[in-house]
This record gives sequence, C-alpha cells and structure tokens, in this order.
Amino acid sequence: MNPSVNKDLFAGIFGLAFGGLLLYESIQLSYPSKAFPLLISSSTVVFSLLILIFSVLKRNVKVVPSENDGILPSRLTIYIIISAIIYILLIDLLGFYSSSFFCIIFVSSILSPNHLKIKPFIFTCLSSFIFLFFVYIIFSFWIKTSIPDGILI
Amino acid sequence: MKHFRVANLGLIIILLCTGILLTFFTGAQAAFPEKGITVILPFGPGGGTDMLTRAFDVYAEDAFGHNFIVNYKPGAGSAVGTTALKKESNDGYTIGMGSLPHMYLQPASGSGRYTLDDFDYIALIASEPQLMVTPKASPNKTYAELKKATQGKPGEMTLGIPSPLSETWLSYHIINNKENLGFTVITYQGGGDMNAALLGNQVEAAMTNIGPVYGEIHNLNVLGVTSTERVSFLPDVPTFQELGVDVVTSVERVFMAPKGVPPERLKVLREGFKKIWHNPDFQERVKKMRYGMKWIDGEDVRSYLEEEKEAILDIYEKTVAEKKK
Amino acid sequence: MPEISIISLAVNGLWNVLSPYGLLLCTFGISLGIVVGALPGLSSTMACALLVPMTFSMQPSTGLILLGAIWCGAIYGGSNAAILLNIPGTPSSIATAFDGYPMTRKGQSERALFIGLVSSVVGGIVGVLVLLSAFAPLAALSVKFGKPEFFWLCIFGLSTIAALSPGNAIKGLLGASIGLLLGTIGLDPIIGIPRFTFGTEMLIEGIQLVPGLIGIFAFAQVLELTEQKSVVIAEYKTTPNLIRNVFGELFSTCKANLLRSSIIGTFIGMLPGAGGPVASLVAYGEAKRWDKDPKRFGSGVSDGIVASESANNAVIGASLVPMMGLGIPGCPTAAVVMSGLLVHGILPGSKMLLESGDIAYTFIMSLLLVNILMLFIGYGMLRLSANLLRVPTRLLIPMVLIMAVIGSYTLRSSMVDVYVMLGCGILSFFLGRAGVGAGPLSLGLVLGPLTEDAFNISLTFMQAKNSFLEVFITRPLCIFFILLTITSLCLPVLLDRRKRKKLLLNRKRKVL
Repeated sequence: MNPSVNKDLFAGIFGLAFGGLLLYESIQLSYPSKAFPLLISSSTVVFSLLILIFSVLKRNVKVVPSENDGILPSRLTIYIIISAIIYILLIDLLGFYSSSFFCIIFVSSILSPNHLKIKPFIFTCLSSFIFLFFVYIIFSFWIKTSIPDGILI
Repeated sequence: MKHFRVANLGLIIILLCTGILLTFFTGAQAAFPEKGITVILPFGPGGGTDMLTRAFDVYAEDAFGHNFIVNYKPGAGSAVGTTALKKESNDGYTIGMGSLPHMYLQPASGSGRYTLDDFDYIALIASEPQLMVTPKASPNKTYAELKKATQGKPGEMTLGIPSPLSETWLSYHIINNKENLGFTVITYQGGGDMNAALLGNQVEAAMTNIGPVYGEIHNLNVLGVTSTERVSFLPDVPTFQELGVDVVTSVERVFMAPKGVPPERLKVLREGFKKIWHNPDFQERVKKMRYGMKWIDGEDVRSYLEEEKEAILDIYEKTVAEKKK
Repeated sequence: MPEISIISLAVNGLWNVLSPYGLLLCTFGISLGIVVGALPGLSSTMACALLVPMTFSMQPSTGLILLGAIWCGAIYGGSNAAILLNIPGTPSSIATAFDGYPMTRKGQSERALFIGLVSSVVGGIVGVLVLLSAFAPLAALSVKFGKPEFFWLCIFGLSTIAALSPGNAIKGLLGASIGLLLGTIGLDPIIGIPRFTFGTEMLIEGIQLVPGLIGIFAFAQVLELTEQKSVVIAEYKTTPNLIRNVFGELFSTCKANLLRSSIIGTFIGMLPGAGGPVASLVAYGEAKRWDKDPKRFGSGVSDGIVASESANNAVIGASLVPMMGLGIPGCPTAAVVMSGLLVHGILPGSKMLLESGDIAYTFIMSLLLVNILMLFIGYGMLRLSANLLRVPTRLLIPMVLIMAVIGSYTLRSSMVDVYVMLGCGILSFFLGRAGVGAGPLSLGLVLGPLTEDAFNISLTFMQAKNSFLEVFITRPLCIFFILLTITSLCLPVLLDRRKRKKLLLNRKRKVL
C-alpha cells in the first residue's frame, strides 16, 4: 500500500474525529461562547474531509516506498512514551527529584544498553546528579517553585 | 586537559559545600512558620493584586520571619487560582488571595468549583469602588447626558468591562437594573486591553476599577463612582448616590487558606497580617499606589461575606434570567 | 522647546546608564536573561516578575535598567535552545527553530547562533529607536487599532500557514485549525462558563500556550531524537572567520530581510496584546514569501533566523510604546515592568514625560546600551552553549524530558499543565509523522485566544451597530489588512505561474 495514503488517512480520520467531537459539543453551547469554536471545528471537519477525499483519489498513484514512513514509530520510541508517562505519574508518588533521577538512569539505559558497564554507569549517575543539582539551584532555590514531593524528595 | 580537571574538581567542591550549607540552614529553626509562606495569586504578574501582595511581602519578614513565595495561577478571571487553592494542603504554609464578588459569582456560574465553605479566612484587606467613564471625545460628559443618550435605543451603545463575571460586570448590571441604560456590554481581556479601547475611542463608555485608568484619567470623563463617599484623590467625581442612583459596589480582597488550618497556626497568620496592615509604613506605601484599603478581622470575614453573597446572587439570578429571555 | 528638552533628557539618561553600577547591572541582567530564556517554560515575564521585589529597594531607574536587560537577554536566549535543540526557549522563538535547527544538523550551529545574536541586536535597536523617537504620537495611534482590525491582522497571521507548511497546504490548514481548537478548551472568555471540558475538573484550567508549546516542541523532539538513533544531535564544528562571515552575509544579502522583519516586529509589537510570538511568525512567513526561492526555507537558511530573531527583539522596544505613551502595557512582560514603576508611585503614561522624564529616558537609553552590550556578552556565551551538542543523546533525551516537565509545571505550579504538555507532545509527534507540521499547530495555538477574543468583540460590536459592513469591512485599516491577506495569498501563485511561463518560453526557444 502507498505509505503516504496511510499518513493521509491518519491525519484525515484524526481531524474528523477531533473536529467532529468539538463540533458536536459546541452546538450544545449557548450563543456567545459557541460562535468561534463552531466556525473552527466545522472548518476542521471540512479540511479533514478534503484530505480523505484526496487520499482516496491518490490511491492508485504508485510511490516508491521509503524507510521510516509509516505512522507507527519504532518500538524504542513507544518505550520512551510509556516511560515518560510512568515518570510523570511517579512524580506525585515519589517526588520530583528522585523520580527524575530514576528516569535518567532508566531512559539512558534503554537507549543504549551497552553503556550498562560499571564505568559508564557511574558517569551517567554523576552527570544526572549534577544536572539535577542545576535544576535544584534554578527552580527550587531561586524561583522557589513548590516542586511536588512524595515519599522521597 | 589538566586545567579542565582541576577546574571541574573545584566546581564540584563548591557545589557540595553550598548543598551542605543549604541543608544546615533549613534545619535550624522551629515554631510556625519554619519557612516562607506560599501565597497563591489567582491573577498574573504585574496587576493590582500582585503589587498589593508585594507590598505585604516587604513587611513579611518582620511579621513571619520569612518572605512570601508568590505563586501565580492566573486563568478564567481568578477561578483557576481559587479552585486550586482549595486543593492545597491546609498546614498553613499555603495561603491565597481571594477576590469578591468573584467568589460569589464563579461558583454560581460553574466556572469556579469551590464555595465560601472551602476556606479559612485570614483577613479582609482592601476594598475599591468602580468608576463609570467615557472617552474624552465623547459628547456625554456627565452621567445625566449619558443616560439621556442611551434612552430609546436599547443595545445600540457599547460599554466595555475588563473581565467577565467580575465586580465591573456586577456594578454595571446593578445600575442597568435600576436605570435601564441598555448598553451592549463588550468584555475585554483585562484592564489594559479595555483602557486601550477607551483611549482609542472604540467604546462609548466603560465600567472599570480605578487602577487601570488612573494614569490617563485626565484623558477621560469620569461620570461617577460607586462608593458611599467621594474618593480622596478624585474629589471632583460625584458618587452614584449623589447622582440619584442608589448603587454601592466594590471589589474586595481577602487573604485565606484552605479549610482546616490548625487553630494556633491560623492565629499566627491572622496576627501577622494584622500587624503588617496596621504598620504606618505599609499604609504609606499602599497610599502611594492609591490603593483603597479596608480591614476586617479574620474571625468576622465569614459572616460579612455570607451577608453580601445573598444580595449579590439575587442580582445575578435576575440578570441571567433576563438574558435567557 | 520640547525637542531640545527631549534631547537633553536622552543625553542625561545615557549618562546615568554609563555609570559603572549601571553597566554592571546590565551585564548581570543580560547574562541571567540569556540563561532563563534558554530554559523552556521560564519566560521573560517570569524572570522579570521574580526580580521586581529586588527592585523595590533600588532607585526606580536602576530597577528598570535591570528589568530591561533581563527582558532583552531572555528573548535572545530563547533562540539558543531553538537553534541547538529545536526547542524554543520562549514562545517568541518558535520561528527561529524552523531554520536554526536544520543549520545545527548541518554542523553550522555556531554560525546559526551568531546570526541569531546579530539579528536580535539589530532588531532590538530598531525597536528602541522607534520608541525613543516618537513614543507619544505612536501610542495615540496604536489605540486606534480596534478589535475588528485586530481580527483581520490575526487572519493575515493565519495566512502565513501556507508559508509554514511546505508539502501540503491542506494539512497545514488542518494543523492550524486543530491548534486553534485546542486553544478554545477551558473557560470561555466572554461569560466564563466551562467549554469542552467533558465534565472533568482538570480541563477547566484550559490548555495554556506555554505547556502546549513545550509539548509540541520539546516532548516531540525527545521522541524524534529517539527515532533518529544517533549518538549526538549533530557534530559540533567551529566556523572559521565567524564574525566576518556572518556580518558579511547579514549586511549584504539579508539586508532587506533584516529591515523588513524589524519593521514588522516594531509594528506588531506596538499593538497591545499581540507580542513576540505573532511578530516572529509573521516575519518568518513574509521573509519566505518575498524570497526569490521560497523552497529553500526550512532546510537551514540564515534568512529564516534573521527574520524571526530581528522581529521578536524589535517587539521589546515597540511594546513599551503604549506603556510609555498611555500607560497601557503592550504585553505581559511590559505589565511586570510597569508594576516595577507603579510601586515607586510613578505612573507611566502621557504625564510621565513631564513628571519623571529622566526615569523614562534613562530606561530607554539603557535598552539601547543593553542591546549593544548583548552583542559582546552573547558572543562570549555562544561557544559555551554550543557545547550542549557534545552531550550524548542517551543523556540529553531524559534531560530534555525533565526540563519539559519542570518547565511546564513552574508556570502555574500545576500538574495539569504537565499532563497537557504530555498530551500535546504525543499528539504533535503523531501528527508530525502524518505530515502535519509543528509550525501550523503552534501558530494556531498562539493565535487562537487572540483571534477568538477579537472575533467575539467584533461580533458584539456588530450586534450593537447592527451592520456587518460597518464593523468588519468599511474601516480603512480593515480594508488594508484584507487586501494584504488577499495579495499575500495570491502573490506566490502568480509569481509561480510567471516563472513557469518563462521556463516554458525558454524551453521552446531552445527547441527552436
């Protein structure tokens, strides 16, 4: 299948779903607050329909498939997305600094497993420590953001 | 390369020393408050509430031993910040500024998910009336002229207010209920935005607080003020009561904490703020900024608010019901 | 004579700034500003707000010097992260990333950074000169710009989408409308009722610009870098003859672009409410539109950086025009600077020249000096920040993630903003893979609230006046912007057609 059709389909269907949902919601609002969303959500729907129509028309055109072209990213990227979500959820539980520390160690080790030997590992720990100290100086010490803390800091 | 390593080592030692010193300092004190109190402001930096809080902050070290940590949570005309304060921990280290009549109107409209019950009140500190103004170029230089101009053409003239569901919204609608002015209300995004429209002659009148327009007040016609007495630095502006319209409104600011602060800590907070507010230096400072000040002790704030709330919600229901028609 | 007194005030002001203490404050402010600006989430507004309490104990004019220096530094600093990491440090430097990052990928990071610096300085000076020469009359003009005009300006801004989305114009439009829609989530601006919150308490806080942008750029960049699987972002090479190289290019081939973008920045900066992000995006779009070969934009050309950076620094001086002239803060940062004056009992506005003209002119002259000093300080810090490229991606990726989290949290100390950042980031990454670029999406997010506000207010005016034509069309500036939008949409098409005709003619001649 033509990979760019795949992309168009995704963009079109997502736009249709998102625009349609907000269009449906905005019809139910009262006058002054619905004017602008109504305008924009209906144009979102129109644009996504256009994209879908063009992608159907283009279906027969043959394009040489190239690498890295589908919608789905590599497995590694999906791991990173999942670990980012876990990291953000952990902040409330463990506290910002400790979960950030674990995040650096964990993410850097899935990114390059061959750095798991002792020396590079110590380097990773040290550099994440220095980085977090820098974050501490700016955000906690100077700006005094009330950084969330959980069980640890 | 060797220089690099020596420099790096030096840096690390300095960083470690700072770290140790920091832990040392934070561990040293006792008794509430052990650290700076966080004040959540429901408006952005640079506005009137910011400057008022900063004025308190100048004297915070005398009263509490620490400066405040000011946290801005703007959005939805203070609804975001006030709702967020409700969810903060009630250990006394997080307090916030609340605005009235916002705190009556927002829960009623659904934008603020809180009630007056969600907070312990520290003090009511400020109160300011609203002004009705027209641009200098306007032919309507007094309230009587403006009222005459509006009659017989409902909805054709425009009146700007700086934010939705705020004190200016309320004061215009109270006047309108009594006088039937019938302006089309234009809601701007803040005082600066509305002031620009006023000076650029884009609207025919405006209802505003004193702060945003005071700097250019010589370029405007001030028709009336919604207080019981004339404002000291605007001696020529009549009150609406003098003009024969019985309207008294104001925007009031309170300091408050999430419900359930331990009584002894609440007492420290109330007494600290009382001390700052009654400091002559502080009063001198806020006078320079032309702030309208008012004091109600923390114990009495709640009953005062309940009284006000009833009357204001009555007006809100009427106005909204009329609009729906 | 008023003119003589203005000149003497300006000279006096310059004299005040040139004291050792003044220079020290400038240097401190600029360096701090650059660091703060480079961190995503820490904006110039926040940096200034943090230092306002410090200025309480200072003389009013010295406090202002410090605030002005931080502001200029922060707006320039935002370009550093945009160029090196594809993460705009401030919303004003979104457009810098479009061409700055590709230059870094090509190994020209130093050159890109220096181009950004010089254009910032030039733009900044143009803005300040306009402020210096005519703030009072210009302020009176700027308030004549009503909401209907502003609405058409927003539409004109949206017309740059075509320039921002190289491949597929419809996908660009889709991206922008998704961005515009995201901005409507939260409380509606007229009556303050919840909208598109689907019953959750969380979404009432709405999707704020800064967390949204951090997601669109920083988080999506985390995932992009993971996809690339390279050890470092790009090779770090020093450019030989950097100074002569860059100055030579900027003042010969980019001359017109530099001037045009500075003027666009100055004009948009003067209008209360629009500010740096809009100015730099519009300037970028225009630079691309007027270029002989628009297709080269986005692949790492200096003109892209020049347009964005000169426009966003020109905004600083210009946004002080309504503040100095009429006491109306032109943007959030100006509001903070203004509060630094108000706490001293000084009222900015038409009476300021008479009552405290010395302070006003000391501030203006200090901005001029800050811009000149920034050239040297920025140059000194340039190699330092370029060293960021030496950090291996396996460490950079988690660190950017952490900066994105803390940056979006700090804005309002709210975890909701972090979730918003995450959501926007994932959305932007997948849309990017589907061919909907980050440019149109961020343009929609930037312009959304501004457009809606202008649209709603114009609609209310329309009801009052009972006439669509009178409000939306028959005002001189409205007609001007409508024509500008139409020409800017049609011009590229026409030029393209003419080019094609010429090519055809040439081919025919060759055949003959």
